[in-house]
Amino acid sequence: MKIDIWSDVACPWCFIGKRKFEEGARRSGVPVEVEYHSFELSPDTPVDFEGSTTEYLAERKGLPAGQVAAMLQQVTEIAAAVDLHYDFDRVVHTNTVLAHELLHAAKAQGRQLETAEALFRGYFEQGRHVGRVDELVSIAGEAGLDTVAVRTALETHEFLGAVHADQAQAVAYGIRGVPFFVIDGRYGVSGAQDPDVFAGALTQVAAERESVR
Amino acid sequence: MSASAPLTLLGAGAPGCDGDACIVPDAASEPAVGSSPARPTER
Repeated sequence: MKIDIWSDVACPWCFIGKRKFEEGARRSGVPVEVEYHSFELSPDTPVDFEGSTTEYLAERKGLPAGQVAAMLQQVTEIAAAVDLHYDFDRVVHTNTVLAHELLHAAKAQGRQLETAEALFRGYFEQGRHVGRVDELVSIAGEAGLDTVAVRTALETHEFLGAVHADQAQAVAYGIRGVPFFVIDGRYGVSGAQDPDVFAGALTQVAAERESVR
Repeated sequence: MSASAPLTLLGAGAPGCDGDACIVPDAASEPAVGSSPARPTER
C-alpha cells in the first residue's frame, strides 16, 4: 500500500511520527511503500542562523527562553520514549530547502528512506548543518548514495522543481501541518499519532481494498 | 504524484508542526511556540 508522507527535517514531530508510523505498520502487517514529500515549515529561515533553536524560537516568537526550553525538553522526553535521542543544544537551525532537494535526489537513486533517516538523525541527534551542500553530501554518502551525482544535483538545484511540486500538492490536499500521512491516495492522517492509530488506519484501508476486489 | 481529490481524515488530533508552531500534548490545542501557519512558498 502506498504511503505518502509530507514532512520537514526540522520538524521534531516528524521524526517521532516516523517511528510511530513504522511501529504501526509493523503491528498492522500491511505491506507499505513509503515516499517522502517536501514541506518547508519555515522557508524564510536563513541558512546560517547564528544561535540555538531555543534562541531562534524565543526571538522569533517573543517568548521567554525558559518557556521555549521547557517545550523542547518535553519534546526531547517524548522522543526518548521512541528511542530517539534529541539534543536541541546541538541542533543547527537552518533553512531546509536543500535537504528537501537531497530527499528527491535520494528518491531518484532509490534510497530515499535511508536518506530521510540519516537527515533526521543528523539534524536532531548529531548537530549537523543540513543547510550546506558539503554536509548534505556527507550525509548522502552515509546513506549509500552516489555522492558525485548528489553534489551536482544540489549545486544545480536539479530537484528544486520537485520540492515545489510537493508543496503545491500539499496545498491541493489542504495539508497545513506535518507530519502528514496520505494512505492509498485517499485517506489522511495528521500528526505523530500513536502506532495503534496508524495500524488501525492501514488495516481499515487494506480491508476496503480487499472488499472491492 | 498529482491529485487534488479531498482526503478522508482518519484519527484524532495529534502533535505536529504548523509553521513555527509545534504542538505539545499537554498544551491541548494551543500551540506551544507561536501560531504562524505553514507557508509552502516558491523560491
